[in-house]
Amino acid sequence: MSKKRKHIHILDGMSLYTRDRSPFYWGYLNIEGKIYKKSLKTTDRKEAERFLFAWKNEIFADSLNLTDGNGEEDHHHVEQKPIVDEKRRKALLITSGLMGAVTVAAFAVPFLSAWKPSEKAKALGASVKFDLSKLQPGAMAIVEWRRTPIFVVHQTQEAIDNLPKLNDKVTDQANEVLPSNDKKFTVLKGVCTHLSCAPKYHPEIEPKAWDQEWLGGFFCPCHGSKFDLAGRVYKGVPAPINLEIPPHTFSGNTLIIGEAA
Amino acid sequence: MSEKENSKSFMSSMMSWIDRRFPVTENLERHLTKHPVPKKVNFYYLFGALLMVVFMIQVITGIWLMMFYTNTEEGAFASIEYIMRDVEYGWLMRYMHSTGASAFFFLMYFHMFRGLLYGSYQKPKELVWLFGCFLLFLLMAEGFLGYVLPWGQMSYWAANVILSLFGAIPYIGPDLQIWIQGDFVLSGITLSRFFALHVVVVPLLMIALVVFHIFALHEVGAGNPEGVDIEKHRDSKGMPLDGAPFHPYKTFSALPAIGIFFIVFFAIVFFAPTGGGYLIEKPNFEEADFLKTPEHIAPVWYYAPFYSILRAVTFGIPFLGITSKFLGFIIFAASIAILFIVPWLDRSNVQSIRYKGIYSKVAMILFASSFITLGYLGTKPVNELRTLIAQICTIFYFAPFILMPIYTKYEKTLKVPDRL
Ligand code: HEM
Ligand code: FES
Repeated sequence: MSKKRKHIHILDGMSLYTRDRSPFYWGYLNIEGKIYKKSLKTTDRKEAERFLFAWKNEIFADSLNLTDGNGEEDHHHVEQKPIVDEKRRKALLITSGLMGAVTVAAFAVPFLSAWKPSEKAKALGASVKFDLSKLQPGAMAIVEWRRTPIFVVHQTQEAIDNLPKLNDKVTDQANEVLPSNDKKFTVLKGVCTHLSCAPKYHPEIEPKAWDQEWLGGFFCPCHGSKFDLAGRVYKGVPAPINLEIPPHTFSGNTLIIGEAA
Repeated sequence: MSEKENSKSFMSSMMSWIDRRFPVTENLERHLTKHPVPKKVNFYYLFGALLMVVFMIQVITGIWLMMFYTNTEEGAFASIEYIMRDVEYGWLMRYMHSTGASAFFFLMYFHMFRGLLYGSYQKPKELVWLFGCFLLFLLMAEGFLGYVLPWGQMSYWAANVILSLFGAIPYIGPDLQIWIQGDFVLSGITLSRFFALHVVVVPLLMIALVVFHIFALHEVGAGNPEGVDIEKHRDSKGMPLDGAPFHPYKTFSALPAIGIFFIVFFAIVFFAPTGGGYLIEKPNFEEADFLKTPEHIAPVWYYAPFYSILRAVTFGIPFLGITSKFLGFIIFAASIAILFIVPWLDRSNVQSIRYKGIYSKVAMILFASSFITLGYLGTKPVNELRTLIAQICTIFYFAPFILMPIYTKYEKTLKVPDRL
C-alpha cells in the first residue's frame, strides 16, 4: 500500500478509508451518532462499497430486531426480494429477443447488399464483340471481358488432329466444345483454375521444360499447371478443372462474348 | 482516522475530485503501480510491450498516409508515388508503415513462440491466449487488406490468389467471391472496401482485442519462464514475494528493449526498406495490370509459411467432391485454427518447456524448424522436390499439436521449484 492514507466519502455517515499497515479497505459508519469501524477484507473499491452497504443493512436489521424483539421480516430497511413473475420475464425476453433479431436482420440486408456488384459494375460486365476475320490459324487473341482476359484461339488443322492423342493425359476427356473441322475457334477464360494466374499460350509442338512430349497448349508459370489447346487440364497438376469457357456465341465472323449461344 | 481529507494540496484534491467521478488512481494502481508481475523473466517477455509500440507506429503512420492516399483504382498507385516523391517525409511514413507491418509479424511470431515454449496459454490464461489468436487472425487480415492498397502488380495478383480461395468453397464459393469483390473481377470497387476495412474496421477490432488481452492477463497474472506460480507465497501485505510492481520495474526494463528495437527498425527503414524484395516485392513497383500475371507470385515473408501449406496440398478428395484447391484452403485455415485450441491440447502438469519431457522438446524443435522451412519454401517457385519437402513440413507443423494430448500426458516431467 502507498504511504498516503485515503478517505473516500460515500454518503453522510458512510465512508471508506485505508490504514497504514493493511492492504484492505476499512469501513466507517455513523448510525444515529453511533460509530462503527471495521476492515472490509477487500482491496477492491467497488466491492468494499458493496460490503459497506451490506454491513449497514445488517446493523439496521440487528437494531430493529433488538427493539421489536420479534424478528419479523417486514421492516423496511432490509431490502425485500422483488416478486418476479418468471413466466412473464421469460416471455418478454423471448419476444424482445426475437424482435431484436428481426431488426438486426432487417438492418443487415441493405448493408450486406451494398457489397453486391453495383449497376455500374454490372453494366461494365456486359458483352463484347470481336472480329474473327483477322485472326490467323495458330494465332491467339486476348479479348478483355469483365476485365478478364479471354483467349480466342484459331486452331490449326494439325492441332485439331493432335487433340485425340492427348485424351489419356487429360483429366476430363471431352471438353464441352472441342474444336473440329467446322468449328475452329476455341474461346477460353485466360485464368488458371488453380489460383487465377494467367496461363501462357505455347502452341509450338516441341519438347518443353515442363513436358517432353508437348503438343501445344497453355502452361501456367505460377505452379506449373498444363492445359491442352482446347483448355483441357492435364492430370497431376495443381489446377483441378479445365479452363473455363465463358458464355459466347458466333454471328458470322463476329464473336460475341458474354452472351450464351 | 479523521474523516477530513488528509492531504490538502491542490493536485491531490483535484485527483480525488476526479477519482470520485472517474477512477483514475484506482486503475493506475490496478494496472501499473500495484500490479504485481514476476520479478524474474527473460527477453521473451518484452515482445508484448514491443507489439504495443509497433501498433502505435502503425496507427500514427497510417493516419498520415491516409491524408495523401487515394482509394480509387485510377488514383491509388499514383498517390503512393506522390507520397514517396512529393510529400515531405512521405517516404518515411510509408516505409515506416510497411516495415512496421513486417515488424508486427516478427514480434507476434516470437511472442506466440514464447507462449508455446513456456505454456503461457495454460489454465487460467486460456482467454489471454485466445484473444491473442484472434489478434493474429486480425493482423493477417489487416496485412492482406493493406497490401492491396498500393494497387501494384503484386497487390493485385496476390489478392486474386487469396480471393479465389473463397471462390473454391463448394456451392456458395463463386457468388461469395463476387460479393466480397463487389465486381466480377477484383477491381477498384474491391479496393475501396478493402480501404475501409483496413483503416477502420480491423484496427478498431484489434484495439478492442488488445484491451481484452491485457485485462484478461491482469486478471490472472503474468507468467514466467519457470512456470512458477508466484501467487502462492505472499508477504504480510498480500503482495507476491516473487513479484514486483509493474511500474516502475517493468516499465523501465522495457525502455532499453524499445531503444534496441528502434535502432533495428530504423536501420531497416533507412537502409533496406524493401528488404531485398521480402518486405515489399519488386512487382509492386509496377501498377496493377489486369491482363498480365507476374511470372512468379510470392507472398510477403510473413505469410510464406502458410502459403506453403496451401500449395503443399496438391490432391483433393474426389469422392467427397473436394478439389485440391478447396482442401488446400481447409488445411491452410486449419493451420491457424489449430492454434486456438492449444490450451486444451496441452495436458502437461507443468507449464514451462524447461520442466517438460523430451517429447515436448522434440515437438517444439520440429514445429519451429518446419515453420521456418515452410517460410523459406513459400517465397520460392514450386518444383517437385520443394513440394515434397513442403508436404513433409506440413505434417511436422501439425503433428506437435495433434499429438500433444498424448505426449504431454504420458511423458516424464521434472519437478517445478516452489519459488522463482
Ligand atoms: C496486437 C498484438 C498483441 C499485443 C499488443 C500483445 C500484447 C501483450 C502484452 C503487453 C503482454 C504482457 C507482456 C508479455 O508477456 O510480453 C502479453 C502477454 C501475452 N500474450 Fe500477447 N499481444 C499480442 C498478440 C498475442 C498473440 C497473437 C498471442 C498468441 C496467440 C498472444 C499471447 C499472449 C500470452 C499467452 C500472454 C501471457 C504471457 C504470460 O504472462 O505468461 N498475444 N501480450
Ligand atoms: S495458378 Fe496456375 S498453377 Fe497455380
